[in-house]
Amino acid sequence: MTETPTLPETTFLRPSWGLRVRAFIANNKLFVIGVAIFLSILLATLLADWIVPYSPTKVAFSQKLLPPSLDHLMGTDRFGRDIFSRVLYGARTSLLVGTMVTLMAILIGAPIGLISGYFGGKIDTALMRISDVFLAFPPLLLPISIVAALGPGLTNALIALAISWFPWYARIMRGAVMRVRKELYVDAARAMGVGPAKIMLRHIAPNSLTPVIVQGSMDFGYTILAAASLSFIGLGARPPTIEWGLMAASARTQFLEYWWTVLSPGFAIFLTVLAVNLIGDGVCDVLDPKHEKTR
Amino acid sequence: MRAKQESVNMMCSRKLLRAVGLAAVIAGGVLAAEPVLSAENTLIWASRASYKDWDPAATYSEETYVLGNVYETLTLYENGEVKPRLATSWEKSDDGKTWTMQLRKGVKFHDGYEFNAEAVKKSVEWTKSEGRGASYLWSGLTSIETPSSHTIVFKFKSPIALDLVASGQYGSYIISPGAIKKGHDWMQKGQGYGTGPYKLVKVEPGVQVILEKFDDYWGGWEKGQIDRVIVKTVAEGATRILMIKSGEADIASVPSDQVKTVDAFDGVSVTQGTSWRNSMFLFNFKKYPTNNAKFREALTYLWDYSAVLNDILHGIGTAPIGPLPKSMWGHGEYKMPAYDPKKARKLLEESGIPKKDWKVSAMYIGSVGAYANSIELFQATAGEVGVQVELFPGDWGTIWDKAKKLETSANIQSMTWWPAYATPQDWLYAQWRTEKKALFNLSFYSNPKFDKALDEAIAIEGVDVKKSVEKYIEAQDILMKNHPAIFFADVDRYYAHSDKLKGMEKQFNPAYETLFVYDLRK
Amino acid sequence: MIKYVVHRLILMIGILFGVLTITFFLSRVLPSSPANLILGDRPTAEQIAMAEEELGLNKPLLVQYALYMGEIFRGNFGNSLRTHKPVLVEIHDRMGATIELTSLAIVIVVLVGIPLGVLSAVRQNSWIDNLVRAGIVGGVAMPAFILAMVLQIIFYGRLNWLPIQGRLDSIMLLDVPFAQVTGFFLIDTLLAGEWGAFKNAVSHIILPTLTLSIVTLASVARITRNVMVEVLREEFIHTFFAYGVRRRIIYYRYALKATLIPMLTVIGLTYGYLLGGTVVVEFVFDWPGLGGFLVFSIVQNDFPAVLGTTLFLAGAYLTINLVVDLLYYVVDPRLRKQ
Repeated sequence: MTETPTLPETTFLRPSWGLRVRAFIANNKLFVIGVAIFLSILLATLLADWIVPYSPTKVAFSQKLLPPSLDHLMGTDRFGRDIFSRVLYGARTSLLVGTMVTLMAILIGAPIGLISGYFGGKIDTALMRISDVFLAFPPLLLPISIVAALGPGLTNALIALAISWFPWYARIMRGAVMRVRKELYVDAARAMGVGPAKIMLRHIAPNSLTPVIVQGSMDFGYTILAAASLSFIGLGARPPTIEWGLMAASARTQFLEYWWTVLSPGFAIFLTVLAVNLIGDGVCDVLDPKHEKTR
Repeated sequence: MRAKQESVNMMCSRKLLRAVGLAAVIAGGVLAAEPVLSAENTLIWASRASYKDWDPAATYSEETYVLGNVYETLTLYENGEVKPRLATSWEKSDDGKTWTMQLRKGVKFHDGYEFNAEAVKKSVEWTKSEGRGASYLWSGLTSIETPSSHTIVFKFKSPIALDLVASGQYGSYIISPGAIKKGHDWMQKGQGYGTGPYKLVKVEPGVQVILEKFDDYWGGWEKGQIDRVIVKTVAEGATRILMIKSGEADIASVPSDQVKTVDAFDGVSVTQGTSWRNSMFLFNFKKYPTNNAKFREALTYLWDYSAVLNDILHGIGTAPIGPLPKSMWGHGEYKMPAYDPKKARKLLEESGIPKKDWKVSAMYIGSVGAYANSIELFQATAGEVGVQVELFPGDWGTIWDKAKKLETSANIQSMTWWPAYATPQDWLYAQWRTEKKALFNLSFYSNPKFDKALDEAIAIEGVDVKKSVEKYIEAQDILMKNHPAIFFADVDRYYAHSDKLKGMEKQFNPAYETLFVYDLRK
Repeated sequence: MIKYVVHRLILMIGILFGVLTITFFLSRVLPSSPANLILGDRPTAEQIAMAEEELGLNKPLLVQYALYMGEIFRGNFGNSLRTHKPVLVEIHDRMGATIELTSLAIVIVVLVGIPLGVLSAVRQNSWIDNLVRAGIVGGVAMPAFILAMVLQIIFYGRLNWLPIQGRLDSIMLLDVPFAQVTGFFLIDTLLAGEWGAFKNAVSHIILPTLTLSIVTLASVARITRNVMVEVLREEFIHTFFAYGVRRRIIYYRYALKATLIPMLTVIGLTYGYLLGGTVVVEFVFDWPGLGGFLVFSIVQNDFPAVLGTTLFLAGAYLTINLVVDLLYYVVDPRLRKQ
C-alpha cells in the first residue's frame, strides 16, 4: 500500500517584507536611484528655508565671484550671493514648472483626445489636423514665438510650453481611446443606453489615461529642460525669480573665468532631470511595459 | 554562408576602425592648425553693434562707429573748439542766420568726384530732402549759394550754430554726388562714396563690414597705418573677449564687468576715456505712483550709486552731476542723491502713496548688462524698503513701442543718450520738451516753464554760444527740481585692444563715437 | 501609391497654411512696431508713420493677413526688416550652415548611437549594457546649453585647442575665397582645394556638432535599444534560437532588419527635430544658421523673416516625415503588396 506523500510544511513560504524590498531594489536599480535622488532634491527644496547656509538674495559685492569652498559650496555669483543657496531655491521653480506644464498640457490635451477618439469621423479629423499644425512647428520655436508675443516671464513661458505640448497628449489619448472604445464593456454600456458623456468619463477615460500618465512622467524632465532653455535665451524667468536657466544666462559673460557660476545651475538641472527621467522610466516599465518608447 | 557572415562582421569592425582612424587624423590635423591671427596691416574689430543704415544721411545709430572713417564733416569739434576739416574757415552774420565757409582744396571723393562747393550743396540739400536720420538739423535751411568753387554760403531762417551742427556725427556727412545719384537704396546695401580715409568695400549684414584704405585721401598716408579694416559683428560678449585674448581681434568692445579681467590678459589693454554718453532710468510722470514727486525722489535714494559704478560698471562710468554729462558744455551741476534707504523710507511715507501701492514696473533692454544688472540690484535694494520692482526686459524695438504709449509704458525706463552734435539741446529737447505724441520724451514730462527756458536757450545758441549757457542751466534747474530720473552714470568710452595697436589715446573725442582707424598704427 | 503621395502633399500644404496663420497672428500680437526695425535709432514721428504705412500696418488685421497670404502664394516672402535682404536669400544663405551641422550630427548619432543601442540590447544586463544605459540616461538629462558651455570651457578656455564660435575665421573667409557650391564649408573648401580653410572649418564645427550629437545620441541609442529588446523577445527570434542558428546571424541579419522600420522613423524624426532644434546650439556658438536667425527675428519682430523661416523649417520637417513614410514602402514588403 502506498502512502500519500505529504507536502513539506515549508513549501508555501511568503517572502518577508525585507526580502521583497531588497528584490525590488535589485531588479530596479536605476528606478530606485532616481527616486532617492529625487526625494533628496524634493526634501531640500521643501526645507530650503531652514537649511540654506545663506540668504539667496542678499547682495554682498565684497564676496563676489568666489570659487567653491567649504564656506560657499558652489561659490558666489557676480552679486556675491551664495550659489548653493540659490540653486536650492531654484529647485522649487523647476519642479513647479515641470509639474504645471505637464499638468496643463494633459488637462488641455486629454479631453481633446478623448472627444476626438470617441466620436471619430469629422471631429476627429479636424482636431487631429489642428494638432498636426502644432506638431509641425520645430521644437522650441512655438514656445519662443508665444513668449515673445506675450512678454517675458515665467508664467508666460509656462503657458507657451503648455500650449505647444498639449497636441502631443491629445494624440496619445486619442490613440488609447480608440483602442478602449472597441472593448466589450463599452458596447455593453451603450447597449444599456448610457449617454456618450457618461461613457467617455466613466468608462473610457480612466482606462485610457495610462499612456498619458506614462508619457507625462517621461516628459517631466524634458519640460524642465525646455523651461531652462527658454530662460537661458532670455524668454523665461526674470529676476527676482530664481531659476537655473536664468542663473546660467546671467553668468554668460563670466563663465570662462568663473566656471562655477554656470556649472552649478547646470549640474542642478542635470541631476534633477536625471532623477526625474529615471523615475519616469521606472513608471513606464511598471505601468506599461509594452509602451513604445519612440520619443 | 559562414564566410559571408564573417565578412560582414569584418566589414563592421573595419568600418569602425576606419572611422576612428579618420577622426584621429582630422583631429590631429586640426589640432596642429594654428589659430588665425590678425595680419600686419589689417585691423580686426569685434563689435557688438549690428548695423542697418549705411546711407550716411539716414544713419542715426551705431553705423557712425564705422561710417566716420568713410565720410567726413565740414568742421571738427575737439576739446571744446570747432576746428577746420573739410571747411578751412568760416564766418557768420551777426544774426547767426547766414554762414559763409571756405572749403578745402585738393580733396577727392572715393569715386573720383571733386570735393567742392557744388558737391557740398548737393549733399546737404539731399540730406535735408530725404528727411531721414538727423536731417531735421537742417530744417531751418532756406538756401545755399556757391559764389565760387570752394566758397559756400548757407542761409537759415533762424539763428543756428552751424559750425557746431556741421561738425556733428549725424546728418552732416558730405556725400559724393556720384553716390547721391545712385540713391538711398543703393547706399543702404552697404555702398557709398565719401572723402574719408577708408572706402566701404563690402557689407555683409549681421556678419562683417570691410573697409579699405583710400589711397588718394587728402590727409596723406605714412608707414604703419592700417590698410584694411574688418569689422566683425559678434553678438556674444564672451566670444569677443576670447577673440581679443587670442589675438584674433585687435580691438573689441567687451562687457563692462569683464574690463578688469580683459585688461589683465597678456598683450591686451583696455583704454578708457570720456564720452558724451550718459545712462539713466527715466521716471514716468504720468503713471501712478511715479507721478508723485516725493515718490520719485524716494526712488532716487534707493539706487546704490557707488555699488553700480564700482561693482557693476566696474569703473567704466563716473558719477553724474546732472542731466548732462560733465564733459558737455552748458552742463549744470547739482547735488545728486546717494544711496540712503532711511531717507527713502521717510520720503515714501511722506509721499502719501499707500504702502500697498509701492509697486513700480521697470522696462529696459535686456541684453545690456549695465541695465540688467543695475536694475536687478535696484530691485533688491528697493525691496528691502518695501518697494516692489517688476522687471520687463526686452528688445529695443519692442520696448520703445511700449514706452511711447502711456498704457503700455513702465514707471521706470532705461535710456542712454548721446547727442547728434555738440549741444545741450540734444538731450533737453528730445527727452524732456513737451511732446504731444511721445517720441523720445518717454517720461511724458511737460513743463511750460522748462519749454520756455529751453526755447530761449536754443534761439541764443545760434547767435552766441557762450550766452546760451546761462539759459540752458536755467532750464536744467527747473528740470532737476522735479526729480526726472535716476542718473546713474556718465559712461566712459572704452576699448579692449592689442598692445600692438598705437594711437588709442586719440580715440576719445567725445564728439565722435567713430573709431578713427586713420589715427591707429600697428 | 501616387494617390497616397498626392494626398500627403495636399495635407502638408494645409498644415503649412495653418503654421503660417498661427505665426502671423502671433507676430501681430507682439507690440513692437516693426517700423522701428527698419528705421534705426532715432526716427521722427513722421518717419515712423510713413514706414508703418509702407508696411501696411495700419490696415485691419484680416486685410493684412489676406494680403500677406496672397504674396506668399506668388512666392514673394518680402524682405527682412533687419537686414533688408529678401527673406528667401537669407534662408538660402543660412540653411547651408544649419544643414551642414545637423547632417554631420546625425551621421555621428547614427554611426555611434545605433551600434551602441544594439550592443546594449544584445548583451542585456552586462556591464556594457549598464554603461550604455547610464550614458543614455545622462545624455538625455544634459541641457544642451550647459554641455555647449562646458565644451567651450574645456576646449577653448583651458586647452585652447578649438575656437569658441563661428563657422570660419573671418580672415579665412576673406583671404581664402572658395566657391560656395553646396553651402557646406567642409565640402566646398575641399572642392576648392583649400586645405587651410578646410582645417579651419573642421575646427569650428567640432564643438557644435559634439554638443548636438551627444544630446541626440542618447535618445537614439535608447530607442534603438528598446526596439531591439522588443524584437529580440519576438517569437520568430526564439524560434531561430531553438533551431540553433548562430547568435550573430540572428542579431545582425534578422533582428536588425526587423528594427529597420522603427529606426527609420526615429532617424527621420530626429533629423527633422534637429533642423529646428539647433536654436540653442546656434545661439551659444554664434553659428550663422537658421535657428539663431529665427530666434533673433522673433525677438525683434522681424515678421517677414519669422514667417518665411518658420514656413521653411516646418516644411522641411514635414517633408522629411513624408520621405520617411515613403521609405516604409521601400523597406517593408508587406506594405508594397497592398
